[in-house]
Amino acid sequence: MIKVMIVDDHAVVRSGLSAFLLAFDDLELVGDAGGGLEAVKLCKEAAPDVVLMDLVMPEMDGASATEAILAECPYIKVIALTSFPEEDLVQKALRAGAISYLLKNVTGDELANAIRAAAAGKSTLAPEAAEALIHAATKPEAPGADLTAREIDVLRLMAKGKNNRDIANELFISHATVKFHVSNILMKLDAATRTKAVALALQNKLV
Amino acid sequence: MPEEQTETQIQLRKRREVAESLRDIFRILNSNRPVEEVLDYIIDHARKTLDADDVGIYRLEMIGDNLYLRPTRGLTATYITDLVIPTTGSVISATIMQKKPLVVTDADALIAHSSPILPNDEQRDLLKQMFTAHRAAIAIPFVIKNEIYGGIGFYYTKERQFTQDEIDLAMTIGDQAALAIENAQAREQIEQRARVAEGMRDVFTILNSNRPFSEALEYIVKRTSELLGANSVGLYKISDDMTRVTLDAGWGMGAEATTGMTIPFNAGVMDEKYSREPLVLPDVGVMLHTLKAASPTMVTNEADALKNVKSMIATPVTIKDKLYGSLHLYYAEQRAFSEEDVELAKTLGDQAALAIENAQSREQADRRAKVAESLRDIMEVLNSDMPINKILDRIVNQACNLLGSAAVAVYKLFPEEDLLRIQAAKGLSAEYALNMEMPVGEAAVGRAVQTKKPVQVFDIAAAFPEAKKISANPLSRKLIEHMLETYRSVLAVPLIIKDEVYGGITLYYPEPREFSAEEIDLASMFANHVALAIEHDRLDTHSQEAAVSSERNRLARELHDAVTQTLFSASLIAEVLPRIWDKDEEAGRERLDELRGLTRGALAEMRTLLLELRPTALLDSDLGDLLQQLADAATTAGRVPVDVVIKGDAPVSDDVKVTFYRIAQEALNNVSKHSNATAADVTLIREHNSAKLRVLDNGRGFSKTPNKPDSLGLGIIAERAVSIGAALSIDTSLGKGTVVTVIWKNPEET
Repeated sequence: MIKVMIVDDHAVVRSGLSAFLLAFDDLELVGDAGGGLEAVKLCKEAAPDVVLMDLVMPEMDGASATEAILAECPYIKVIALTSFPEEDLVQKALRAGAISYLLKNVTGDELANAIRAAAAGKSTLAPEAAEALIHAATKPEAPGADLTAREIDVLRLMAKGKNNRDIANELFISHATVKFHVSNILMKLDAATRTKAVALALQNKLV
Repeated sequence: MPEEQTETQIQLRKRREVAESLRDIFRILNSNRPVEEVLDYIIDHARKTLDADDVGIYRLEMIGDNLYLRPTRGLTATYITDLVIPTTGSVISATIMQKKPLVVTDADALIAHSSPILPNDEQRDLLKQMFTAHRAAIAIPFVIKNEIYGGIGFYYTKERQFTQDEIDLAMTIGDQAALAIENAQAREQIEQRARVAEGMRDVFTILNSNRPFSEALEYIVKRTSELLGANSVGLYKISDDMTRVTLDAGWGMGAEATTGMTIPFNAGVMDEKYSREPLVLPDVGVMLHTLKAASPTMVTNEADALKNVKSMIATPVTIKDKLYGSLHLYYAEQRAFSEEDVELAKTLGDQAALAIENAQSREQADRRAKVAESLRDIMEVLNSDMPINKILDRIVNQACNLLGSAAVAVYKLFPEEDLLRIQAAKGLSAEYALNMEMPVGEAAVGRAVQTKKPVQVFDIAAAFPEAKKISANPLSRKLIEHMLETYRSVLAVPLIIKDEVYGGITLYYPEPREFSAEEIDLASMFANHVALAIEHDRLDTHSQEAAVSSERNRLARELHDAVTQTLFSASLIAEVLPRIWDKDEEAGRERLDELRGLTRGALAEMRTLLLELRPTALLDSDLGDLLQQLADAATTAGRVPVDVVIKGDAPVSDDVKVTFYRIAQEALNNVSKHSNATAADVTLIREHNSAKLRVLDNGRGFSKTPNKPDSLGLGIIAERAVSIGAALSIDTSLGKGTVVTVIWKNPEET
């Protein structure tokens, strides 16, 4: 018997999933929660083997809830079950510790198998999620990944519109050192001007 | 030779008397007595030393183009005031003019000679009278610095001969008198200069103080009158087209000459030359006479204005090489003006110019400060979310204040009809503002709109004699006629938004007036602000529309999401239903009902989604049906049974329908997402001229001061209610459920 907990802010989904679990003899509903916080609280008491976790929820999102639940009960397997196949969501959920990633177009049988697999420590990925992961892995490295921590500090101040003198004062380093950092930053970002560098930094969320 | 001795003794005594008398005269000359007193003293002594029966002092005066001798002292009062002897023709004057003494021994001969050239019978009678009483005379000219000042006459009742000694003595006394006059003149000049210097100092003090402009000018005209002994003084401003003068400040001018009084300016009196040189008129009558001959009609106004004036000086007031106006000094008597007088008048004119320039630049600075302040105010208003009509009212008020107009109106152009109607106004009657329809091309605003240029009208009634024939409708014509009774001048500027004429702004003034370039600029600036406000409002409407559309997209996304959840749930149930049915028929039946509910809910959600994507569909549907659909969707999504009660089916306007729908949508969204309610209902009551919507649930409610006021869509609900003027109440508290009620009443019925 696999103990399952449902976390979803849509009542209609919780209701559908509970009906679904009813149909399988080896699956047992041990608790349901309408949000992340509630799930974290309920988890210890309900002690599920597998959690079906919606990702986009108010109050606490699914990834954060997953992280919190696993910190308390690392043996629990969390399956992300969401309507969104976006790459950043997939990565975030997997990084948070989710073992599987399924979309809400999954059939009942597929879902039941994924729950069983998870309980056995095996991952199931929706094809869309797998595709997103492959895409992320093969994508060229984002600009600025090779910037040093100090260079990021300098870039952050550049983004605030400060000139070299201000930056030198703020970081307690010499004017010449700032110039050295700035020229390295421009080179690493392949930017011709400070403005371009700042624009790239903001675009790629480097600062 | 006792007789001879007696004769000698008499002569000696006489000489001594003469010497004493001369010494006395010298003494008095060196004292600081006024010239009149000195002359009286001389006359007194002359009478004694020359045994004269009467002594008279004459002054040479310029009257019109002629020189006249006028008795000033010594003779009987009648002669002094009235006798005027021309300098040409008469023996006495001719002699004096030739700077030689004259001895008259035979009065009859003199009268016979002089009479024909005297100006009138009266003068002849006076001369006759004088020489009937006086049969002999000596006349001595006064020559001061080679110029003839006048003369002194010694008169005797009996005919007699004069010795050379007597003539010499008379000449000595004449010289003394000349000296006394010169002395006194010099002293007077010094005193006058001191007075002028003091007066100027005062004027400077006033100029440098921060007194109002008008006060400084009034002080200058008053001071001018004191310094130059004028009976009255006026400072006039000349209109740009040189056709009118306006009184800026007056002193002693009488009740009818009030500041701001405007009179026509006759180029004939003050011609081209006048703008550079002062005009000196010792005899205004002569000038008027000449002018009347030249142009009988032209001079009428001038004559009226000058009827109590006998002589005057008018000096131009020039500011930065431009003729501003003139300073006029009026005298009730004919009099001559010295160069010094004219110079002084000129200086005072310059002072007035300085005062005006000073005041103008100060006023300009003040005005600029005020303009800047009002700009700030307007900017603030523009950046607030005040409705456009309120913003226009504010701008219109500011325009009135800054441009000193009594009324102002913002006209909007209706191009299809070629008419201008008032959009915002101040100071005009409500009837005028509401009903005025001005055809394009007519009146000031119509012309400003047509030409896209400012139009100023000095005197509306005069400039638009066709006002009564304006091709406006009869009501507008009546309103125009009525307006003409209150307002005399207007300034109209076009209102241009992005190269397109939107309308115009008119400023109304109760008095005829000119508008400076600066004022026209200022009015145009206000027009720009109005344009900005209107443009701003248009953009705002755009951005509101953009906000509405992004709100619509958000709702659509949300609903799409909801449909996905419902269908996911439904498909799972459908998939497992057979197994459940096999295990437990009762549970299977329940799940089948649920599946049915989910499907209906998904359908309702789909329909709602379609409505979001195609808003016109909303208008084609019945409000009751729409509410039922929302309730179905909420029932499904929130697992809350929502009942719908519809009472009455009176039609409601599209605005009311859309608003009620949106409010119900938001309220039900709250019910299904946040309320944890187990039951809810929606009630709609539609009656004639009123409608009521109520959404009620038994959920957890909320505190009235939520941290994020808009988080529950309450902001949207409130905005919606305000937009149709409906009364909204939200009744809730924690644990007590929520009731949202909206009541709309037809404003035309209440």
